[in-house]
Amino acid sequence: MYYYIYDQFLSQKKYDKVLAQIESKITDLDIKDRIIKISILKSVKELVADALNKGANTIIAVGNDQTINQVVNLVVGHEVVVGIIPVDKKNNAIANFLGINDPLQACEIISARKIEPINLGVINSKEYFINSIQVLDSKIKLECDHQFTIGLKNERQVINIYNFLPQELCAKLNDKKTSPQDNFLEVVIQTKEKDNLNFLNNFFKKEKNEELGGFFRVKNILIKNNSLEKNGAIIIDNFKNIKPPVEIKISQKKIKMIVSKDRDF
Amino acid sequence: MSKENFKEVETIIGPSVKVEGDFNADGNVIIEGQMIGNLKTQKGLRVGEGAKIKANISAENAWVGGEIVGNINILDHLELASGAVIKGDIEAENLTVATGAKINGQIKMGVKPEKESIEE
Repeated sequence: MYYYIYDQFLSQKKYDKVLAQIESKITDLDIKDRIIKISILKSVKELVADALNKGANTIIAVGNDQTINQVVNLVVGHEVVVGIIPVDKKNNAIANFLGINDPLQACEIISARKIEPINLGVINSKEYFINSIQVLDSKIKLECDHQFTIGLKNERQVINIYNFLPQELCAKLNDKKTSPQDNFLEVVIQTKEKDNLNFLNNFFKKEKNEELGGFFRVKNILIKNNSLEKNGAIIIDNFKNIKPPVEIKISQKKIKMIVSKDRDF
Repeated sequence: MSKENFKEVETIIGPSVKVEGDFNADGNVIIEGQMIGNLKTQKGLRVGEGAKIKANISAENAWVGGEIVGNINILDHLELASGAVIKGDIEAENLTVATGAKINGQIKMGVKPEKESIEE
């Protein structure tokens, strides 16, 4: 049974048209069972618990990365498959990584039902992330695999910890080993361009030049207490800030996700 | 082994990155920054011109253009470029030394060092 969970932001009028198209498409594909909507009165936690109690075997997160992160955190450990319909044009890195680029294509992908077990990252043994963690603090030190530390010497550098390593980085590294099924996290250090050039780059629509400053494959990362600068931040899946101490690992638990048939890991 | 011949890279320690501790890898490693501790890899190692390493090193092959303070144990071929500065002992099956490279230490060649396995 398919349960579609609509994020709260989709109640805005501007999304009416695309939601109508999605509903028409899933009706045509005969995969429309229940649609439930997150609201002020009904939290995602209540909706997912209700769906699981009623025997949902497939839960489709309709929204963006935040919607998917919330749904996944609630279904880990349950025998359920998670699908995605990305609606927001921004903040859909997870869907894009799985080969899902627009809402109507997503419906067809769900109907085709290619299921892959996907690694999850876990923070402090209680909170899961799917895509990445961004560390915006060049003074921070990462303790990796209880064996070595990584420190930065350039304040324009940022650290990204990926479960889903972006394909452009895989290509840059000619890396064929990395996948969201490899039981590793990838630590990528990149140097941001200088701020005073941003307006020029925007003007000429030039892509940001992010130089690769480091690359590591690890299983365990520790960021100790009091190690974050005042202006620093640790951001999970592009939406949630957390504070140290933070222990980041690959979880033993995996999530079954519906991916594009063109997406081979 | 030449400077450019890595097709796949498992680890990059860039010019602005400092790694301290015991670092074990299965694949090719590039160091352009700073490393303090011990470094072992089952594959190749490239130490860039600006790199500064204070570590004992084990690798299958290595190209060194930077500074290493520590002992180097290479299973196959070690190539020292003109900017290389080594303060430590070298053990390698084959060794190439460019003009200008500096070595302060003992060199043993032709005695294949035992391949150390990396514990998970």
